[in-house]
Amino acid sequence: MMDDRDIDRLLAEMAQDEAPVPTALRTAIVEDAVSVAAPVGPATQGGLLRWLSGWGGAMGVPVAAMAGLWIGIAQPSAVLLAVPGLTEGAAVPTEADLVLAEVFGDNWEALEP
Amino acid sequence: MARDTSDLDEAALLALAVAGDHSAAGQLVDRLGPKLMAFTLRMTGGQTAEAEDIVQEAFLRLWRKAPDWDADGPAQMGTWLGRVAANLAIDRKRRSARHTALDPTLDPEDPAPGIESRLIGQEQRAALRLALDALPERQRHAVVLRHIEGYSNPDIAARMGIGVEAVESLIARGKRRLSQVLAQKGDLP
Repeated sequence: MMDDRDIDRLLAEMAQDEAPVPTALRTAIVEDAVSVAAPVGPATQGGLLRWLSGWGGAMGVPVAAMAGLWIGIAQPSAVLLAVPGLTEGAAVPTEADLVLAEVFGDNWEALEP
Repeated sequence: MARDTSDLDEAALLALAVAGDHSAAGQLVDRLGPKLMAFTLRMTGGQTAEAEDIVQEAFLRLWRKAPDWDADGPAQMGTWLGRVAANLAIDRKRRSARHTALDPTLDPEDPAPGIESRLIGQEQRAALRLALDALPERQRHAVVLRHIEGYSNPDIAARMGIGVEAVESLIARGKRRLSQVLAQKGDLP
């Protein structure tokens, strides 16, 4: 008669059991693996994505900041015109105004006859 | 010419499999599938169709896990698959219990002893396997996870969503039932 230890031993031995995987199931599992595989896009697209996710992406923030600063300094009227409401109640300086201000200072208007 | 993947470890095979390498995927299924299939059959009480569904789903989760798989981590791939399969089997049982509007905290009555008559002339382990398959589902899950897979009782309790004492009770009742079935077989001519 088997005792409790015999049952424990037999159960533990069952941990090593194997059962064949049916061919159809094996095929389905392999197909699942292939379907999960990441789709490969065109080389250029992949290259761009890799570039953006690497140093290219990291460089984007300082480059954008520099571009914004340049636009603000070199083309302020473009910024003011592009943002509705920003210039309400204030005269929009033209590029000529800014050049005159640089040459004659802020009170160049006083020089006008 | 097909690549020879027989010398690669499981992590390398996994990486190749999800890169679209049929051979590597097949190799991994051949290495890990038979044990997983046997374990899942134990959990489902020999329900082949259900076991196959679970095995396929477990592998599908492995494929999806592949990009994050830590080859140097503590988890063995076979053990990881076994745990996924165990959870799937338990979840299915829970869902079917809800579907049939049964109280999931109740354990069905032990089956009538008619099944034991089929054990005549079988080897001890085959007899145990049949007896195990005939156990009520929750008893079978608890016994398989504890005595075949080596889970701790608290771990089993967490997976089955019950208390540790309930797990101990299920295991004790399950083993008592196994013992009775095997004893009856021993008494048979």
